[in-house]
Amino acid sequence: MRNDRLPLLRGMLAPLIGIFALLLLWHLVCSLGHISPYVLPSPQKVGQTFLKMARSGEIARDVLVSFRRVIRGFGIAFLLAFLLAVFRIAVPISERFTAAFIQFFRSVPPISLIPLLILWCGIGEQTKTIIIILAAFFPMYLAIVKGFTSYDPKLLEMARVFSCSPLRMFLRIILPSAVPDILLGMRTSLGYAWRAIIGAEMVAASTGLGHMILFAQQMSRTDKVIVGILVIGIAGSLTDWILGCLIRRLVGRRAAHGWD
Amino acid sequence: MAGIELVQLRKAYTVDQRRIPILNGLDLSIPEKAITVVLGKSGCGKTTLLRLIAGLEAPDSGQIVLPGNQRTAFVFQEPRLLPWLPVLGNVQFPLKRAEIQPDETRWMLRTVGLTGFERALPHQLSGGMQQRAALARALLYHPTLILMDEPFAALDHFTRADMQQALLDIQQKTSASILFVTHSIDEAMTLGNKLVILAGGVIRSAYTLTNPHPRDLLEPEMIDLRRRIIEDLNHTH
Repeated sequence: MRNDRLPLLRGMLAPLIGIFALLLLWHLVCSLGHISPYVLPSPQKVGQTFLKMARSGEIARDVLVSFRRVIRGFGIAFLLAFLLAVFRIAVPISERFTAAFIQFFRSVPPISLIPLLILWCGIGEQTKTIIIILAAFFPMYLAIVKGFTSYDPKLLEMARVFSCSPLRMFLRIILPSAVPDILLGMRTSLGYAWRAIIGAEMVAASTGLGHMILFAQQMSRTDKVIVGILVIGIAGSLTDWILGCLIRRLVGRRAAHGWD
Repeated sequence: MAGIELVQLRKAYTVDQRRIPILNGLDLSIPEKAITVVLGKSGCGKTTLLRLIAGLEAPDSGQIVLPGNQRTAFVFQEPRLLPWLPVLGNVQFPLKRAEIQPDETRWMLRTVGLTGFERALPHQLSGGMQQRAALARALLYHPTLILMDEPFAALDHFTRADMQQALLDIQQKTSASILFVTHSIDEAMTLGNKLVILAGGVIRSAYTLTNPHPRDLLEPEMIDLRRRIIEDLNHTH
């Protein structure tokens, strides 16, 4: 038992030392007194503000708002990416018509579309959802298409010999082959979705973590700005970690495929 | 006539803008409920012949006459197991839910020596075990025709002998027609009811073996047959 726990503790120890060292450096820089607390508040001050905001429910409220937006946009983006990837595989000629269009929109940062989206959809939830969809769609779509095309043709040939229907071949061979790529695409897209929503909330929102940071900056509350940044980092890491666990659970048994 | 008839089968591949003929008007009758073994040197078109019969490729010309309600299984040179499915899932892969019979699956896994490995993933098995799983998958499908492309080539001597015996037992029980491709003369003489030598894209010679199994390959008659087969194979060009 002791031996089982040791690697886990060792694994946690290194990051904790890293975090502690950073906090110590931050504390030392602040205690030298050369930097104004307005520009860089001390870790103690940030900690106190964090606790105060956590107790009042301010953090939970904004996290929940942003989280809900991310999940909604991400879910729609996944559905669209999956269906369009299936269409792209079922009708290969469609790639010729859509390639340039996809390349174009992939290169346009979703944040740059905010002015246009505000004009078209106002500053309601719709604009933010579209921003997240645009940010999350492309990495997922490309990963799913790659997944759908990276099956082993020899396995499909085997299924053909055994008279499997095209639907069965898709469900039993092409889709399972694509799972690692699909999950990787989802993980990348989730990160993109978080970044996009914070940007969108800074420009066009009255709630959410992005708005919280911008509002704190306008109120000259640098400590709240730092709390907001920390919370975004933690929330993003946490959702990524949950998805990572899910991936390991789903494809962990395929160690031979390089999935760890 | 309920066997398979191949009439004037022709097939060529184009490699690097060069046309390479593989089958040059091949005629062959494959009797039903028997093991027909195709012997030939590497690259003589043995695998192509199986792929044409399986419908994985179309011939350039000629005819393949199959009996109605044919149910074909193929044991490829490599196991072609789904890497994410355990042995049990793999051997039952071609079956519809209603066709799965747990008792028969257990019996089949025991026959091919995979009892206790039902939950193992393909990468956890040796090459020989994977090939045995592929054989079990083909047999559980209840085929009327089994196409086998050097399925035992990767097995050691003893496992190969066990698998050959298992194949003979199962063939007798199920009365499936088997078309077995190999380059091993011993294997051909051990298994075949009909032996055909494929050379130059046509059937060079055919022999019918009526002696019962297990066969003693050191009998004078068998030694004589082996000599004739070697002669046939040596006069291929």
